[in-house]
Amino acid sequence: MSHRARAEIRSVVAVAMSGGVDSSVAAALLAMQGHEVIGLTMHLWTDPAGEELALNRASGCCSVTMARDAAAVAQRTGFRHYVLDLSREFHSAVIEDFGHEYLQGRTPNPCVRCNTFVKWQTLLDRARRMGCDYLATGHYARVDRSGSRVRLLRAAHLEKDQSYALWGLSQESLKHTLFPVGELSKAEVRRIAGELDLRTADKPESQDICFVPDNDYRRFVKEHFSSNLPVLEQGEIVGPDNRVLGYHGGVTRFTVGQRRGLGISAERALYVTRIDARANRVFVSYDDECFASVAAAATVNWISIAPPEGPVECSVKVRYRDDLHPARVHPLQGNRVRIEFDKPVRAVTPGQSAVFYDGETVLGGGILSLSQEVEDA
Amino acid sequence: MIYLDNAATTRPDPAVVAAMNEVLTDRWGNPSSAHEAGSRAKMSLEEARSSIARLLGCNDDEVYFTSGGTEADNWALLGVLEFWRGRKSHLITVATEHHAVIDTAKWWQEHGGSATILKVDSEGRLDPQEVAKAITPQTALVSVMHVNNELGTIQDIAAIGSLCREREVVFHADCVQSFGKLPLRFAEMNADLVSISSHKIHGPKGAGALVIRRGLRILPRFIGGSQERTLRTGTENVPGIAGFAAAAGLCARKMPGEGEQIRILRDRLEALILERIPDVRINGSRTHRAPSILNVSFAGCEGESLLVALDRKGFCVSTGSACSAGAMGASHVLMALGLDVLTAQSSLRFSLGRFNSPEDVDALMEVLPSLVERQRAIAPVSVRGS
Repeated sequence: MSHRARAEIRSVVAVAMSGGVDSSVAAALLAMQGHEVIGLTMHLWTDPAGEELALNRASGCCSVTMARDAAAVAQRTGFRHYVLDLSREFHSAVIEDFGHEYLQGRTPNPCVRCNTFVKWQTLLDRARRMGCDYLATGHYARVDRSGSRVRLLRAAHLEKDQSYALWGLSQESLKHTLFPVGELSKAEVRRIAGELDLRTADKPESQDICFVPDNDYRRFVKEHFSSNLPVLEQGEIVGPDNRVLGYHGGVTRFTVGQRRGLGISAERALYVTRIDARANRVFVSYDDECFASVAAAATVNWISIAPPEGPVECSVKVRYRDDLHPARVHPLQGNRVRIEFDKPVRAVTPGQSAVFYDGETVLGGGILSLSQEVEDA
Repeated sequence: MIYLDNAATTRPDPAVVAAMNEVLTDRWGNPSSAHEAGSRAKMSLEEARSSIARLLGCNDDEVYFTSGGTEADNWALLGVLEFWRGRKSHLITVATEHHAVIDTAKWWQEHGGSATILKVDSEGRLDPQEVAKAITPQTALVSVMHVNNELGTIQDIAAIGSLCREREVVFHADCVQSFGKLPLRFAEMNADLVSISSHKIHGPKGAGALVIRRGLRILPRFIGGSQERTLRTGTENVPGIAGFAAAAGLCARKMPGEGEQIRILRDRLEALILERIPDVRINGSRTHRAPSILNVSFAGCEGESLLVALDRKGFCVSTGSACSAGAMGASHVLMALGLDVLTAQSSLRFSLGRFNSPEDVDALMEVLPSLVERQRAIAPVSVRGS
């Protein structure tokens, strides 16, 4: 196998530790392999309500319990652990973008922003400055250093693959990255955690966005952002024949493809097809209107291949839990692409990421926008 | 491990540990009990009170034991402000105070009172005239720390106290970083309230005191019992207090020689840093500075990362004050000096104590210059692209 999953000589490795089982096992594996491990827990966000929620749930970012759990693993395994306050960077890179996107009627993916701008920018920088050779995380993904270009690969066990959120990483970042659990299955990871008697072995999975532990995005956006656009107010729900079918209580409650929460009774099921934040309108239509053959993406980053001159045949995911859609990706000016799907794809959602794959290799990705916007640009 | 973070806490002196052991073994009664076991403990408690009063030059009955400096600070502020509630509700303090004071001042602002947070100059010094200008008929209390825990900057407590006295405003001096290190005489401080702490002077954690001038009106924060003249009730932490007194006694005996030795070590460290590491900035005052503290900004470095790099090599230092949540962040004290965020975040605090030696300084200097150099050589991580 040419994948060189581990660093071969004894290295100094910083491990981003959330207190969860994946990063705990990642750290423990590295320590067992003889590397000097430095556990780092990021303090990203403090929401007073969130702290209370976090006591009852596994989710809830940067709760003191997270840091404590990570510290317990560190002590048990025998490596040092620190908590870093990156809340300022997190706020400007992730929170602000989150609110801004929702107010524009888009559905953001803050984990992508966090990975790109906080973990693999600020945190990696700190790790280097501490004297670390690598930054490791508990992501299910892999790095292949065997070729002239570092490649990002999907996890060995595809059902856990988290490479979708990693499309923003650079060659430089990847060179200094390790994914110790990328070859393993979740079951193996839990087994290792149990064997090592790590406290986090039985922790349930975190399902929510870490800074909105109650999943109420509308409340969050309303509390933390104000806008000239009336996006949080009542607006029109417009049907397939351009008739107003009803009213919504704010576009932030909706995402493309959504069926629930419309409050409209109709003969056939209706789904959100488009959100116009400026006009505060949600457009709905029948299932067959929810498909697109073409999509556009911006702020595209190419990882495993150099930015291509011509079209690339690949498979594309348009959301985290998605099938691979065969497509042709056409590079456009200014880090944009046009994506032509072989078969129409359901609910392409502006703000979500499009990630391009070639087999197990992650070629790159970008942020989906409305096709018209790209054409007009 | 080489410990250079004495401003955060200090290693208990072996003599202190011995004194505490004796109390834990033989003087474990409740000082409030009437019987023999109780009176033995009571004796230890009162002996401790006397020896601390002696060191400070105040009356025994002016020493009220607390769980530490934070409690003393909180009590001084809220105990006085609550007493004056409805009549005077204005508090004056300084931007560079410890969180125990600053956060309490913020709390006060959010709960019906007002506060003026005075600025300092670029060395962290407060002009006493700024206090005079800020005092209004509504001012109940002025609180100023004698020695700043991050910089070592010394404020002119006597002058500020005198101003407050003229205007009949209560004056609290947080002496957590100066008691036992700088010569203090209560009568000369012109203060009504003084906070002191055990674990900063090679005593145990969990013990401190608020010194309250006879006749000052202050409300208690604890209810139930009659300990400490009913002003700070609760069964006394006799072993901790005994340890505190033992530590204070040791300081009294070793002053001023020990302070001088520590100053020499600190100055040596400062000189070596200035000599061997370019682009550094000494923060605080060079003329009005406590002997044990050195605060340095290293251009091009990230302070927390430097701390971790040093920790990996066995050196314990600090970037600012220790924080309970464990997350290190930008220092409000450095920001108050007018430093930009990057410079503030590139700073380390070294603080020496009784158990440091010239070898400790040399060992640090074997390692520090190359760590700084290595950090400076790292180009910032690029975001994306090939």
